[in-house]
Amino acid sequence: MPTLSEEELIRESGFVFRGTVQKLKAATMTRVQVSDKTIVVRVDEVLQAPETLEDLTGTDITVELSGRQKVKAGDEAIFYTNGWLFGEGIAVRAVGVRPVKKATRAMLGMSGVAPPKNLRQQKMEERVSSADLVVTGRVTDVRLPADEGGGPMTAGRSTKRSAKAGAAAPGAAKPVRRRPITEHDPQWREAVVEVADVEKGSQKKKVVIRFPSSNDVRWYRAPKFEPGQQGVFILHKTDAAAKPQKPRLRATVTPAEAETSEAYTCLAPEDFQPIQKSSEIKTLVGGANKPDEE
Amino acid sequence: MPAKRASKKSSGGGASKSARKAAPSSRAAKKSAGGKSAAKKTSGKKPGARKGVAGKKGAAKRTAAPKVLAPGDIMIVNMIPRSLSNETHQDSEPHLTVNPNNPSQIVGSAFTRNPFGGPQAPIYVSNDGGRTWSLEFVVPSQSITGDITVGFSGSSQLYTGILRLPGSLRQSILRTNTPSGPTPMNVLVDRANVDQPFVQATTFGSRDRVYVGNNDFTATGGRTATIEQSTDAARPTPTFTKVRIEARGTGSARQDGPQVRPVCHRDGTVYAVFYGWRAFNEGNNEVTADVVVVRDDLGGTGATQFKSLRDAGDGLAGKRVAQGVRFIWADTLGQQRMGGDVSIAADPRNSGTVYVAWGDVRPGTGYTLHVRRSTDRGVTWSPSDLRTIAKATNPSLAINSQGVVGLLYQQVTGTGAGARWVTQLDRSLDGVNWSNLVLARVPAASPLPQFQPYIGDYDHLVSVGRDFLGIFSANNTPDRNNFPNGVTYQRNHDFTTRRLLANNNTTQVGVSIDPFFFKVSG
Repeated sequence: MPTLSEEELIRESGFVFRGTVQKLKAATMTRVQVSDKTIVVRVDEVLQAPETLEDLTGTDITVELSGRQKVKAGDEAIFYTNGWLFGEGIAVRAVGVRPVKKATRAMLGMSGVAPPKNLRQQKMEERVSSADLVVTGRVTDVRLPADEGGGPMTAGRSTKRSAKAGAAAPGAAKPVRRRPITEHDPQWREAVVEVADVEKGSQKKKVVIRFPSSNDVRWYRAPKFEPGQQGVFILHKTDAAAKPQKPRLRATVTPAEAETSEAYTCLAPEDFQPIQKSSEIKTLVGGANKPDEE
Repeated sequence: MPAKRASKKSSGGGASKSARKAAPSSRAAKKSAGGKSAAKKTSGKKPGARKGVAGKKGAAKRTAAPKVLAPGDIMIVNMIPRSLSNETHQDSEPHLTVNPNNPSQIVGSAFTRNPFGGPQAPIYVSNDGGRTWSLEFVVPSQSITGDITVGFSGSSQLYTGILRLPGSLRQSILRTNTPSGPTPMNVLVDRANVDQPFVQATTFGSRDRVYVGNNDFTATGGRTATIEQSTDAARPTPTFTKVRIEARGTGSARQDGPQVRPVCHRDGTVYAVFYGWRAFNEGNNEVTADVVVVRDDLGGTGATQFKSLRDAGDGLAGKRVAQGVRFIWADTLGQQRMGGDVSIAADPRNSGTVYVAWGDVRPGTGYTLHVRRSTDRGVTWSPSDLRTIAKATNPSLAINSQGVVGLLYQQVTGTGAGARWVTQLDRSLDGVNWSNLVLARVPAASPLPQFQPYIGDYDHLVSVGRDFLGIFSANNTPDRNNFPNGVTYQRNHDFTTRRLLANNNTTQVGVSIDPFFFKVSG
């Protein structure tokens, strides 16, 4: 397995901390089967973590090493980890372990910053990096998609492109293809965004974004838009290859189909950022990704 | 073999002779199913009745009531581990399974998020009979699942049906023999356009049988209610086949409801209940449906599957226990999005006795649960409700080794700020006389929903011998008044100040929805 760079380790890890190895072949929890790979590490400083785990400084936790990672008692290192087990204590699996002196970027860049902020920053970096289009702008309209029949859980029942979300348009001309009735219906909406600035991707004056308006467990974390909202939109095109190939219930359209190849989507919580973040995102996009001239 | 005999003789739709023999209560129940006199006769005939009802010290007196519980018979545990005391996520829609080879090993599931946001979602695992729980990240789904149910087989394999992320309506059927990890579960099936996979597993002979009820939108003709089954699921690469169990047209609905609930019996019989949708009113989201029970006497191994039970009315497979029931899709009850409820349980002593619960809207009472029973393998049913519960959802039925039926449900009482979600376990030996046990009585107006479903589209109840074990989700305020039969918390808390505390055991943490395990000893 190739050695991961520090940036890759950070990206692959939900929980990054500076710690000191306390015991080898040991664990802090009876639930963990002790092996050559399990060690007890004291958390000296949490560098990147979700809110639920940011206050672990001073705590002994169990770390399972992977591959050829070697440490000895007393070693101080940066541990790049993901969750394994939560019980009376915590056990994590190491994606990577680096001596503190070699982990300069992590130490310099992350130390002293609230761990959840570092995690959010890392996730935003990922989204910006994979985005097809990043724009600053303002939502001027929210509407039903043209190919959206207004399924039963959707607010409107019109095929008219101009129909506003939430406003039913009785007397639609003809029956439309309906999605399956399911509690996980994304209830797709389109937000029309007037573009002020393109940070990444092709120049545009206007962009249409598809977003799930549903608050179902599957979709609740996706940003929801309203007219007048301003900010930075980190957008991805839908993968057309994701369309189902198998036969399906007539008169339905799947969420994958609702995401036409022409549409940009906003699905992750990090995909919309307040306007105050625009300069930070410009920096993330960097010189290598200047907007293309159309 | 009882299943085979029953199958041969009852394939035309009538109750088989052998089934009637196997169910001593069937004649009494037929005469006045659900009636008190029938019930008394029935309970008197049950071989285990005296032992089960009279209590441990043999104060033997025939009675139609289940055992009177002592405080030590009830255990309720908040399942969030201490190391996650900071968490405030909405851990709703729980499910539960017990390893039949090792009842101390219990697995639970819920909409619990991997706090690290990694590629595996968690399950809850207890190795001490539910007293303590840990969260293990073994489910291959990005941080959380879109739906999850769990089922142990008799060979100690854990099967799981999930809606997997990333994806939408992407069903995966998973398997592991080490729920505590660290290896992620094996993916046996992974396909799109399926809703609400509901897993039941058993071992028959030396083979694992797994039945996943789901609403399969790849079905043709709008008959979407499906059992996805494997009759040898422990093989390295098992085959799962899709059995369409809807025999009737679905009218303007063009699909069935998402709840398709199988239940396995050790004699090989498998039942399933589902809403056969018959109409959908796009103007007001009203569903019109039949409550349909299907049965397979050979556990899906015969030439045709789930056609052992036919409706005398139209001759088609699947008995319509209730016809033309109505409810409003995506209506709200106590901050919970509603979409229907069904549950089914078979008597472990005799697969001919089966109970069904469903929900619908009734004038005056609004959303209402109903319970009925068959004692002849689903051919006839009690003509009226054995139990009717207004403003309640999430019914889950189970029957213990003594024939006591348990009904878990969550009911809204009161209004406005005083409204409560009351989680209750009703038990009955005869289906007529019920004893009630309140597990939790928590505020219904707080916390506000983070998403839907608020408490979940289901909870779950199972029986292990005489005991009932279950799981539900509820407001997690550590207030003893909310748990009149006691509760223990793993996460940091202070019962005196009624506050949740963070990992540092000092900082206050906001109230959220947590899963609670319970065990009621029979």
